[in-house]
Amino acid sequence: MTSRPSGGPAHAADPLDQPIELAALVGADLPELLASFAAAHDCGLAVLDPRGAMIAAVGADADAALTAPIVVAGDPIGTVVVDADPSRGGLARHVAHVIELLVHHAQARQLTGVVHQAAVAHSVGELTAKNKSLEAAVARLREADRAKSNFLATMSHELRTPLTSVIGYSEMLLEGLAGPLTPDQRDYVSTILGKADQLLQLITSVLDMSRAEAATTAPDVAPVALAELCASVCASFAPQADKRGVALVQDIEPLRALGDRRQIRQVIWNLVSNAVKFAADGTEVVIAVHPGPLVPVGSGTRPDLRLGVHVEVRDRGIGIPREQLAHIFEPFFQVDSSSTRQYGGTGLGLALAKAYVEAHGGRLWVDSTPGQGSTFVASFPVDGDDLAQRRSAP
Amino acid sequence: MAQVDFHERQLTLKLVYFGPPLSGKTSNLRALHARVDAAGRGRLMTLDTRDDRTLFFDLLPIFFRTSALSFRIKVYTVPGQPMHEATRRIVLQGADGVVFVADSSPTQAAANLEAWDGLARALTDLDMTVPIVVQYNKRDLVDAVDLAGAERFDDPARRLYPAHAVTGDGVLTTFFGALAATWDALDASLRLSQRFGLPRDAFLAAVCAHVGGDERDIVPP
Repeated sequence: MTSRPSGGPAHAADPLDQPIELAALVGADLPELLASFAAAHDCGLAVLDPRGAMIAAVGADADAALTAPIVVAGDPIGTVVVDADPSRGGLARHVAHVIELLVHHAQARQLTGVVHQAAVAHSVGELTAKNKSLEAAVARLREADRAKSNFLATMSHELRTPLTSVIGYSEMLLEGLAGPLTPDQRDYVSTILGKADQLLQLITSVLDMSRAEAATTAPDVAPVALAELCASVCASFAPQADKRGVALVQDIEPLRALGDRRQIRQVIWNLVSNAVKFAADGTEVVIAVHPGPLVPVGSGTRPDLRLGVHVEVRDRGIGIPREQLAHIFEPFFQVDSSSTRQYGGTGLGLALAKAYVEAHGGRLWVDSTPGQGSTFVASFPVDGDDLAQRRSAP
Repeated sequence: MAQVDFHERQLTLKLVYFGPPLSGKTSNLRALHARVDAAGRGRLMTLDTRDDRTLFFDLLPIFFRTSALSFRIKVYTVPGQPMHEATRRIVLQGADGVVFVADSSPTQAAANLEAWDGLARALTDLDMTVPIVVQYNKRDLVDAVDLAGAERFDDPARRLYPAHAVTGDGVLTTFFGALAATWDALDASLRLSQRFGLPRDAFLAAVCAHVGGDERDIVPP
């Protein structure tokens, strides 16, 4: 019958077992109540606690006093005293009854309050526990992520060391330091050197990426002239672009970004490299610099009205399918495997560019139509002096 | 644990009706309250919580001349909705006995088990061990589960109390079953019979008279 044998020590007390104290529950309402009865019945009234102490009274001057107990759940919790002639014996009982009802409702309110308070305390306790476990999980994940980035950084560094020897000795062979090479040998060694260079680039990107993720490379902030950077990047890509009849067009306002020269150069380099790679033969790649909001409106963050400088790179190439747009900034993501083969690349360029731009407080976004091309925009903090000059200019 | 005031020779028992939503806890309490003469009970109190409510009332002190002992019995329901777990716990605190009101509808079998698990968890968390009697309510349903094969909640020998609380059928039988189990549990720890010379049957008979019941409603466990 009994599923849990009883007999243990006393357990938690009953929180709903609150004392019923007349003065505490309805004391504040009594003067008004008694006054209305006194006026209606032309008599004096008083309410006493069980020890006979006065809780409230209105003109009570008892010659002929009638009394009635105030009883709640079988317990007398006070007395009503009425100074009226004995023929009105029911009046005291009537007032006591009204007070009993008031006490009943006040008690219900009091207990509802106790229940609500307990429920809120319970919810707060649960939420606090959940928050703690979430915080612990986040800390564990952060630690794991940091460990992964550290591992990548160390590994990339260790991989680079032997590769330097591969490249160095290949170059020595090509230069004939170990004797003349046959055309076939020269061809093979050139291939080794080319692939080793490609591998070095990949490893360098991985190293940069893991450094950026581990946030070990804080931007070294100084004004950076973007016109000069863009010109130098364009010069580097000119031979590659020329071969396919791709024109590099610069549309540059003379603005300076506030940031790390090396990182900003890397961002422009990666964007132009992509644009040239994916531009259709005989088209233009436009590199533009102009002012714009540092954080574009509707980017999901709170409004940020600071002005920045936009570096915009447009190509007329294959474009990016809409469903892929969300992923192109993820490390090692390639729009598809065939494009990897056709166009090559590590899949780290955009991820690294995004990490660098965001380390500056800016944003990197893309607008693309498949078959028509893509426009990448990177925003950086702008040097305030440049803007002031620009505003004061006619 | 029962509050015992040995000086005043007064003992307060708390009985809690627990169960899944809409199983008939409130109907049990209303039927019981309506059954008792107004002079023998306090007002029915309703504590409104969101979308649900807690009901309770006190039976007025029952006085035993032979042992000069008076009893008061507080009867509570808990809100059945899942979101009111905190309220259920606060109502359960200090309970001496629990009536688990299960729903006889076969579609509510899972809800019954879920509520039972909630009860077990709450009692564990509150570090309480109390006797529990199980009532299968809504026996009037045409597809009511057969009691012979019904879930007995962790105890194959458990007695099941059938009821149709809306009409009052089985309400007193369950109540007395719970009181008897509660008395036995308290007697084991407080030695009530020995101390006050008040055997269980006399206690139950007196409560039965107080609530205007029929002694045939008392089915000792």
